[in-house]
Amino acid sequence: MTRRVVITGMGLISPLGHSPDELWQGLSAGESAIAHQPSWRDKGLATTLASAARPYDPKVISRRHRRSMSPVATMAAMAAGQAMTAAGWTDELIQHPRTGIGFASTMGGSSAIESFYETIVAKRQGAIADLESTTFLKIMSHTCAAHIALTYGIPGRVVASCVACAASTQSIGFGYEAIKYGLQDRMVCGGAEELHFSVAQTFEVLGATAQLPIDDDPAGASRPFAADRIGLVVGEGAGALALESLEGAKARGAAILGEIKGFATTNDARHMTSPDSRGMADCMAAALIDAKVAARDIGYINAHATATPKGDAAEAGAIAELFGDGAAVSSFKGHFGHLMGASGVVETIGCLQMLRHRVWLPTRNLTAERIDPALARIGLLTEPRELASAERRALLIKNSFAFGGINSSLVIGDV
Amino acid sequence: MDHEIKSVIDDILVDTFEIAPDQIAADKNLFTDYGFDSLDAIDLIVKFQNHFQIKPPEQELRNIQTVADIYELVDRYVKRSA
Repeated sequence: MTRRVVITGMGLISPLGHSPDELWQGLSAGESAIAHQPSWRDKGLATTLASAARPYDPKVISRRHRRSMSPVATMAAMAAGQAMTAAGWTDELIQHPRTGIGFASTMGGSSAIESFYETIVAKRQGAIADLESTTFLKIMSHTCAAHIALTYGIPGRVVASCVACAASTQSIGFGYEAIKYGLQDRMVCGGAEELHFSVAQTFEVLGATAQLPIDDDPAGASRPFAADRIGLVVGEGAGALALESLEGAKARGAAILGEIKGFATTNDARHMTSPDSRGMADCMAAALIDAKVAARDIGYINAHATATPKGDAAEAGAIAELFGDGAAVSSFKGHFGHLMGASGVVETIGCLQMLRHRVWLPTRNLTAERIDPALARIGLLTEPRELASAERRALLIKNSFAFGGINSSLVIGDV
Repeated sequence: MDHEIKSVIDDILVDTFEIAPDQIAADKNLFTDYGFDSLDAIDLIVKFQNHFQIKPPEQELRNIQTVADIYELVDRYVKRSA
């Protein structure tokens, strides 16, 4: 027997604000969070575009827990705390053996990795003795999940699926599966990423970053699905969902924000960086099977769509194959770029807010005239589309794809 | 004791370990008064060793209990290396 899995809490630290309502305000108003980082020029980067989290106070986390956190883990712990508080989880529920964590980032704290290498390659004898005891704890790949466990005393399973840009979507999926199959009753799930020039460089060397002159408006830089798209803009943040079984949420009278209906994750097993339509389509199809719904039941797809020429084309091909132009499609990366390990979960929170407000939002920077003609065969939104309150197709897919050929798709809807 | 040594150590306790300045006193015990654990102790030692470029033996470092113990140890090794 399997169980239904619902979302009862959301939390985030993001470029558009630090609560689901602030995120909604920014998304629905079509705000951009992208700005130039002039200092990146000194690092030798051609791109200066990035989407930084709005300022936050890390001291809300006690020093004992924060001392071994890089910003990636600090943001993760703040988002997870918000989500569990919003869900109304008591300390007894949070610290229960049936509560676990699914949380990941592309890698550990990138600023800590930089200082680690600075220290160990320093041209000074004995420099390695300068490393602090907490350095490794900041850079280890499961730094977010481990710090959430310690900060809140969560004793159940820790799943740290550090699969680059699909990290948080896969984390949510594994959390859903843990509850669905009765392995845990509650999972706090999500992902995080910390802004660092090395992340931008990773994409720049592949020719995948958006680049604009420093005096050009950064708000127009990220253009998913547009004919004149110029690549992705890197960003940072963290997001978390409190997941629990439907019966558990009902028993404690919790407000239910939505249901994870299905999930799939697959691998192209074909190329390390080149996106593959076949793998993407197979992943979405497997998620539909898990959710026991048909493609025609899906009203909206929140695309991974990072605004790279190849990636958007591959995803549009996969969507066209399964859905034709029958589902509305958009991407939030026009608003705040690509939040890497945080992208899937922050975008999922945006999707849950769209469900709540009964409207599918369009992609920022995409007008009808700008749509890439090669991608026009899918239902790209350029205007908000309102849903009737009893809309049958208030059911969506959230996609995330990553280096290594990783594909992840969630099917989400009303309970 | 060199006043600068005391000042640097006090700054480390305030800046890195977030001890309130009015709680810094020579007779305070790092573990029972400030709640230090093994990770804090290691990082405190790394900080003052790096700052003063001294390397006291492990056994002496293990004996540190109070703020006064740090002042005394650092002062002795700084003078020794001068």
